[in-house]
Amino acid sequence: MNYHNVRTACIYCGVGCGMHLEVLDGRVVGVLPAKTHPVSEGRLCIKGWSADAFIHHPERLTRPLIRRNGVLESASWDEALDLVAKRLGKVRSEFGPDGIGVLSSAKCTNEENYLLQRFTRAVLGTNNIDHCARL
Amino acid sequence: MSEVAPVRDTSENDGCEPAIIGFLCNWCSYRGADLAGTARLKYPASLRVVRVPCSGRVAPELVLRVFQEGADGVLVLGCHIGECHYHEGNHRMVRRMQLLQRLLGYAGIEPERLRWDYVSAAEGERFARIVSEFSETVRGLPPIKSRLRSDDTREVWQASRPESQDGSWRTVNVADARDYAVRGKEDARWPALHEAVAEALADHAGVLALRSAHGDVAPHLFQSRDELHELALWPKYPLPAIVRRLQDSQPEGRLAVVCRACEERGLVEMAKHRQVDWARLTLIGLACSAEEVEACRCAQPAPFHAGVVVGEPTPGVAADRVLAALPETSEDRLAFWLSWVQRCIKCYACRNACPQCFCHACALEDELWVERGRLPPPYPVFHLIKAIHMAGKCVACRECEIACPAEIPITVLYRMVSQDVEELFGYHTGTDLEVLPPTLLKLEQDVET
Repeated sequence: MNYHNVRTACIYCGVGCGMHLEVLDGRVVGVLPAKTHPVSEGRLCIKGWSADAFIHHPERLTRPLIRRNGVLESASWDEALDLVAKRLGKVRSEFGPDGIGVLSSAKCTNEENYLLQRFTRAVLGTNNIDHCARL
Repeated sequence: MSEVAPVRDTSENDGCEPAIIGFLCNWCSYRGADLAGTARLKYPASLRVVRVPCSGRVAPELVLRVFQEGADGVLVLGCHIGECHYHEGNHRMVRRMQLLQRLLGYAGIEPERLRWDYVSAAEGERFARIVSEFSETVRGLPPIKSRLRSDDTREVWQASRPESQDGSWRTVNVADARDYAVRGKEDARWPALHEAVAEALADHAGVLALRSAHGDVAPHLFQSRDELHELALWPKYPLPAIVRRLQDSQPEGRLAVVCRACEERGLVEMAKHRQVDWARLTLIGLACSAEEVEACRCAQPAPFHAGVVVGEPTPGVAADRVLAALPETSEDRLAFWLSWVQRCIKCYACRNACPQCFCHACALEDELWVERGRLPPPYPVFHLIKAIHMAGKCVACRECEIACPAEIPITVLYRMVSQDVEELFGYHTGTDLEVLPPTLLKLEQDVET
């Protein structure tokens, strides 16, 4: 048996309250507010208190899905990325870079979000990017 | 709920009939009411009757919701003591209603609005008399609807704000309790704690305690002596809930836990409710420092069950020093609570932080009692359900109030309920392992009729 806490920031909004994720034998089992956090001082809202819920959720996507004939089918990463590249390239050549909009997620890391905005601005060439944590 | 919601709009009730909901036991009072009818006895038309299979079926949640929906009075009638069709239902009813009535009083709802009594199937006259009396009492009170749905609570809160900022009256000094300066090695108790934990490591699967790393403190299961230099003492976390989780995941093996007096009391209550396995648990007591006692306004800071206690016990804070802020009259109390609960963001932190909230299905998530999407949650259901559920369970660890982003002084109510549990049932929450809480007792013989 192994139990420890991992200090992190709440992913749900821009406030970034401090929290601990309780890890029991390699699985995240709960959330505790970080009492030493200088801003949130051990307080969380209902989102923070349930921020662990999606981590091991059975409905969480674990592989890419491609819709074929109206049905979502699992696909390999190569297949999925090729399709995305092809279709984004098509939209870009047809309507220009501003024909594309990018929505990022609050449930991935800051660094991943940074990468996505770099990709959007430098590769796709548009500023059309937003993020659900930008409350 | 529409079935029991009063049909009469009492918002402009000046001398008109009040709305009274009566929960009548199918086996006695309902038949008593029938008898009153067939005997053509007169009683006020303000009573709306709901037939229930047993008065023990009338949950406190139900009474609270009925008040919230605008009932001016609630009457619960059951069989005479000793005559319950289900043996003990009316005993349960009496215990609940006694506590609930007092709680209503603290919460600013006149206790006279709730009445319980006993009517047998042969007592039509008694039924008519009780209803008349109760109706008369309730008529003398202002309509509840206009009071619970007060629109000016924002202003009341603004007005009460300066007082609320001075935390001296609170059951927990939120400002002090949130002074989360990490206490680790520099604390005088640290060497003794280190020794006690190191000793326990020898014959336990692990020791649950606080760990300080990178200026941050969190609960941790210590399993090796190499980690012990990171032991910490403050800020405290709700450890009993973690003990439960750890024991659940590992059905065998002994755990040790470093616990303060409040956490020890919490573990005692959880053991009685079979949430932790006392036989597989070793307690390493930690006596709180004077500073910590003051922060939590703790009345009983000395561990009692732990074999080893680290630190010198400090005297507790007297109960009469706090609670001074609870106003005297019902009207002022209601204004006080309405002003505070207006700030509630319904984050469930009070429930989530509470080690005693271990029900699989939480009443606060049941749409029957708590409507979804209403913010702030209407008074009094949301806050008083938690309060009545804390009867015989709240061990005054204050985790709920410390975790509350709105700083609602909710433990004032829990403390009052705990006092009542002591007074009415002689039950001291979290102290004696052998004595069952009043909520778990099978059959009560000592109910006054």
